[in-house]
Amino acid sequence: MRSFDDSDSHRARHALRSRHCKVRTEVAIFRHNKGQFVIIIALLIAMLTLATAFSINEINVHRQCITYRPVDEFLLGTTSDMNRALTFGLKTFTTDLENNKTDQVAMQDGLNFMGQWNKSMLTAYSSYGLRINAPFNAYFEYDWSADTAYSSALLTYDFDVDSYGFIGWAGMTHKYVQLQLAEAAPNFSLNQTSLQFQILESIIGQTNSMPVSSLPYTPDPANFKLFKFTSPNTFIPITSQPSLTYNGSGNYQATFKPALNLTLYGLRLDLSTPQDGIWVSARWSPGSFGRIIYLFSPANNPTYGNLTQTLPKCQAALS
Amino acid sequence: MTDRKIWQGKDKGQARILEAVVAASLIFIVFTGSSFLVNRLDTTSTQERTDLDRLGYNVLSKLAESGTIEATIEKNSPNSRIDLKNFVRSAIPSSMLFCLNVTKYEYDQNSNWVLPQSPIMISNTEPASFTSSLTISSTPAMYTSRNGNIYYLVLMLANGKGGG
Repeated sequence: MRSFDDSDSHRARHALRSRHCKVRTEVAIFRHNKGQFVIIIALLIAMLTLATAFSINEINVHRQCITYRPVDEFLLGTTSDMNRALTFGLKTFTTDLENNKTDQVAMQDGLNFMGQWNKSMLTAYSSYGLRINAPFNAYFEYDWSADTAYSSALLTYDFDVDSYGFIGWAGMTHKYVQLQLAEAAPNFSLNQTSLQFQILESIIGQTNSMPVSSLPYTPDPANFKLFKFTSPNTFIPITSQPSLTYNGSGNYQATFKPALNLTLYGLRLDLSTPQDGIWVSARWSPGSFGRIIYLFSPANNPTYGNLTQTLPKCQAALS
Repeated sequence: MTDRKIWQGKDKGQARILEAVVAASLIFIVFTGSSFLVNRLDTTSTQERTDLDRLGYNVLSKLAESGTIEATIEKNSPNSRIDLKNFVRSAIPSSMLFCLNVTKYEYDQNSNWVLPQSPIMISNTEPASFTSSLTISSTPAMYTSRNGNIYYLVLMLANGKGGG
């Protein structure tokens, strides 16, 4: 019995000691795991850092959309030159008209130049992957038949710039010059005539004109021509040197000899703009054509009534 | 009993130190690798190229708007190239290398293409100097003069220090 009790208590003590030992081991393992957490957190930080750095690297190396492309500069530069070319095309067109070439010849010369510019642009920027969606169209127009006259040109374009991913670059550019004769008055005591006129130009359109303020006070006769006329087909040059006075907002007063009887004579002014050399021509008769018609009525002079029809408006597309 | 002893006393402290060293080394290695990835982008060079491109366009725009081509090349005077060179030189920082090529597009009476003459080249350095620079910008532009001549301008710019 005793030995039985001893053996029992020994077994119970052993079991108790074993359980105690197991608990202590578990506590030790837990304490050990606290150290492993440091490594796990370090691993997490490492993964996050690497992923972030790798993402930044990938975005910068492979995503072309965030690399700099001088699209604005390219488009502004090309549009600016387009307007310069159109200005020269209009100069060619109006110079031909001023030199009494026919409308067809003048228009063809203007279009030829725009065609050359078109070829040059496509050659110069061939590496940019220009894709033409619609052909370049140039239009030239003039009306030199009244006291408010104008010369105008328009160029439309529509193309893509593939290398920059710029799609649908379409628009138009203008060049417009307007000359308006305001008033003419003879001064017989000084034997001179004064003519007031306004000259405006624009690269946007008729409604956004800016005054031309740089005409010389003593204009070159090659760029500033005055005529008197009694009938629309007989223009007599006024050979005296005019002097100009600038009154602001594109308004000038030209004074020249002799004093003209404006009930007999009409006045015609042809001038080219100082910067661009674009010609425009306006004609003026006192009050209205009616007062001239009294002297040269359509019945007496059949071409007179068709004055505006003899100077048709022109427009054409680049071939 | 032996295992139990490992996690007790001063051995336990050594294990902690070992783990801390491993964690610190891991983070150090990762940060080193990350900085390599980021620095490899050479963003300085990219930014410099961007700046050169913008400067090139600005110089060409100024050249076009000021009528310098008409006042120099089209005058055909002996000093025209020098004047043009001075204009470009005054428009860019003095330490910068530049080379401006001006090609005139020519057409015959029938608007057919005529082989252009050799371009006018204006530079403040030898062409070989550009090869030593990591960042070179080449900016093209078209210019139609008031006399109706059509030019193709290419302005090359590089940093004069010879580095990127």
